[in-house]
Amino acid sequence: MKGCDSVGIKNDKSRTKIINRRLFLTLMAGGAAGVAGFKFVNLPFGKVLMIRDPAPEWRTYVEKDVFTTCQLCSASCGLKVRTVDGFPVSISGNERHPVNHGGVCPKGLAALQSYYHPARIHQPMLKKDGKFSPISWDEATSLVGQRLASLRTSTGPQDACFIFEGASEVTRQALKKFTDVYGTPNVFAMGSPSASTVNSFCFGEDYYADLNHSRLVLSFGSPLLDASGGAFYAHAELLRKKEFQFIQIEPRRSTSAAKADEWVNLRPGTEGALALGIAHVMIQEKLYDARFVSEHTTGFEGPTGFKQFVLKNYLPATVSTTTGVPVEKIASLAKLLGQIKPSVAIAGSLMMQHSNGVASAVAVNALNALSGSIGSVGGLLKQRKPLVANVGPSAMDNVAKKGLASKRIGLPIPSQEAAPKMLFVYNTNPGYYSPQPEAFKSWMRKIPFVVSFANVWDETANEATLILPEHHFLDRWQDAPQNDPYSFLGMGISQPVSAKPLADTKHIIDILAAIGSKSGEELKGRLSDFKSEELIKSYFEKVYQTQSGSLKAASFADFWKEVIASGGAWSAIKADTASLSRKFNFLSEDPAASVHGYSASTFAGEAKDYPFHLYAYEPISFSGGTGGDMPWLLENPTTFVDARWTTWIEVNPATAKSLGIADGDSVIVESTAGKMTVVAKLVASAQPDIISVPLGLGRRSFSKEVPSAGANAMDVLSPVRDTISGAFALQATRVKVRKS
Amino acid sequence: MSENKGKHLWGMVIDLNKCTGCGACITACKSENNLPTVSPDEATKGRVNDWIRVKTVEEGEYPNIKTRYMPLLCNHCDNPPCTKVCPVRATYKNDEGIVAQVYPRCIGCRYCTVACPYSVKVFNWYAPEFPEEYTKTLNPDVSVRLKGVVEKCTFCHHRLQKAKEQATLEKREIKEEDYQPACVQVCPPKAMTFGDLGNKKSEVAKLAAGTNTMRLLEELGTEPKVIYILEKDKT
Repeated sequence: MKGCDSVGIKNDKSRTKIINRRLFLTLMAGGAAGVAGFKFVNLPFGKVLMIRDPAPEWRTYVEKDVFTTCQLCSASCGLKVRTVDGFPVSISGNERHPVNHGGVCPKGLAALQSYYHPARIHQPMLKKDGKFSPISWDEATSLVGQRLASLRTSTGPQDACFIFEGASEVTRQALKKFTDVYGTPNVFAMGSPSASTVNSFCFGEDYYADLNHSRLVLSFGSPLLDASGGAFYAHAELLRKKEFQFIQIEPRRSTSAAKADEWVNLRPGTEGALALGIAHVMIQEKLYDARFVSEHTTGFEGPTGFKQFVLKNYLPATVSTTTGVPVEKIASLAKLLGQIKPSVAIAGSLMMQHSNGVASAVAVNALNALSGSIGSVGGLLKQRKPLVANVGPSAMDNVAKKGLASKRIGLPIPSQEAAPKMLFVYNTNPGYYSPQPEAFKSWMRKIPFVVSFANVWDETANEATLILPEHHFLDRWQDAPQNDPYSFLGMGISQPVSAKPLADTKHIIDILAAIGSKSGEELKGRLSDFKSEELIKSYFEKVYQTQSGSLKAASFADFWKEVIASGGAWSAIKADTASLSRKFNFLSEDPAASVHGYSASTFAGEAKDYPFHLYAYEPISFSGGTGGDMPWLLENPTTFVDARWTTWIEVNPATAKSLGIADGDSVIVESTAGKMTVVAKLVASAQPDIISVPLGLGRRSFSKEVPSAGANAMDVLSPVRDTISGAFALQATRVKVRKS
Repeated sequence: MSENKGKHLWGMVIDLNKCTGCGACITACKSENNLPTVSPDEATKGRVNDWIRVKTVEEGEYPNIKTRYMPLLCNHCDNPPCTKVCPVRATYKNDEGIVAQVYPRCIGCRYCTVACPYSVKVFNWYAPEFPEEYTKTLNPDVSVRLKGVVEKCTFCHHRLQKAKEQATLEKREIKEEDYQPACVQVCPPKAMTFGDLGNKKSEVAKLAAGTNTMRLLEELGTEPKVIYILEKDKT
């Protein structure tokens, strides 16, 4: 492995003594106390003993630990990968990593099963007459380069569309440079808007909830213990602090709800109304921070102000009817917010997956304004952005400028009429994990040339014209910035753990450069002047120069050594309170940032035909829609119910009885968008009129070794959107259930 | 607990206040101990080969519910019922308190499986099969078990073996922190603590001696060395 032979390797033990079969048998005969290891004290252990038929010989091996960063979700936990003879055999956590402190979630541990997946893509593949066959990297990149060049001169560069997800800072900048220089504005991330996006709406800057220093957290559907992989270590630790009170407001008794100090159960999509009801009591009972409100906010007083709006429209009795939360509970939550300082209300991702998601988040932020938690330690604090990676100048010509100024197409729910001429899909699988995956795939089929960068066969790659497989994250260099929520400043690194890549794959940046170098004379120089390793190393150099004071290394060479040896370099930091604006406008001009924009959520399907609300959530093993093709995770998809290799729904026992459904029955769940067959599981904490379903299962099988398991809940989700952001509202579908 | 006579007495404390039921311990164990993934049909029937599982129980009726997550594994009883019924001494308790299993000696009678009050022993009905690609993830320190053999949690004793070897190489005694099972190592909320119960100064012994602890089916006199700290509301 490049760069890692001299540093970063611990436990490098060559085990040289050979135990042959004869010696082994002698030992077995002599070891009355057992051969399973206990009397082997003086033997060089660590030999392979595969008691299989025929029994192979013992062999020696060289063992190395390599520290890298998990890329299977956005938490970016530090991993310690144990390699034997140059290839990874198991994964554990990096104890020094500030995010996960040595803990790893099931998916992180199962990363090996994607690395060695039977359906790995081993070289570039080109589809001809509906069948894929191998093609050389040179031919493949030429094909894409020429297509891009001719597209640019015919209909224009805006007809090339890019969808990408979760890329590192360097990759993001390289991709941005590529699309800017080429000249397309059609670059999309499929994710739904997060709380931080809404904070940008509300405050003009990106804020985060400073949980570490808070004493009261009102989580409106934030999956603190249900997502974010090993990062929930920090949350679990927090939850047990005596002086820390955590209240989970969510329609399902998730792990976050179960481990919270209090679970507030409410009707789906009414979180915003509850926040405004709490605001009503805070204002009525003068429990709010009057000084903060008068000094830092606008739009509170006056006939059209927030105060009058809430006092008039959100009486606790009304809110109680809407949300199902008792009046006394609303009052006690308001009292807590008024009394305990510092406090913070979080607009969680599950709450935001409604048609009123952004509006609800704004209402939740109004609570932060009322309690004076904006810009204070233990409340909302300014999020430091990672340093911008320098990938060289983006020299745009007139064609590019014209292209960039053109109108964007409407993703994530594509219009069937407007299909681009070329599509590039990186690090995401919208043919499986997006609203209406079937509609997405049929949209893809209208596009003449689709390029996928997948390294394991998936639903989207299968629809592509050409596959240019990117390195698996265990084979590639990548930056992984970490900062504020963890009170650490620094940078994790993903580095190759194997002696050589498992398959003939390449780094995404190098693939882009190879395509760029073949996009005609006009673009050649400007699109191909980058190399992955150089860019990443120079990014770390920039990090070192900017933060050298806190990162404690005498030179960049030392810093780089440290990064390679421990998977990154971090130093503890204090929250950035110096640059806070602390401003909040209750009556923003922007409808997205105004509380007055709040309205009840809408659902697809009439209540009389579709009596149940479908609550779609991501189990920790399948966060972000990945992991559904790993056998370890499919065998143990959850510990909440007893279900294996299948998709299940969680039904209240009384509801199940009325439907004539028993635990383990096969049932059909039907919405206006489609239907699926799943297994019913009786769950005592389920609301009688809510059916919960996990996302991330029902992957199509691309190898006989890993069969398909269960149904994809995305298939039944109706394409309802957030009225402000346009994002897909995952929780806005009503369903009916019957025994199959 | 039995006299440890200067030797280690390995045991585990699981703090149920901390466990979130994420299942990382299950996957870590599968990876570390070369546990085969059974077919989906068999798995659905409950015939999975897991040495540790997490039982989630919801107590009460809607809407007043209490959720409990409970990892279950071999308790490494100090007075194990399973070893007493083994006709060939394939399962035995070693002098460091670990209830071990000698696979080549096991005749597959499954007396131990029945005798175990915790139902944590697993029988190999089939020869283990791994997709060719996944044989690369097999841990070379752990043997793959044969068809017809009973297996269970070993507290990852191959790790103890390696730790002892390393200590011998470095000409020193083994230290408690040199050895911990895979599940303990990866547990994200650090709910599991492992170490020498015989050493009163060790973290695990201190936790085990604390109030509000419980051992499973203690009344049977099995003297489990997996101790649970029960959930307690914050005061």
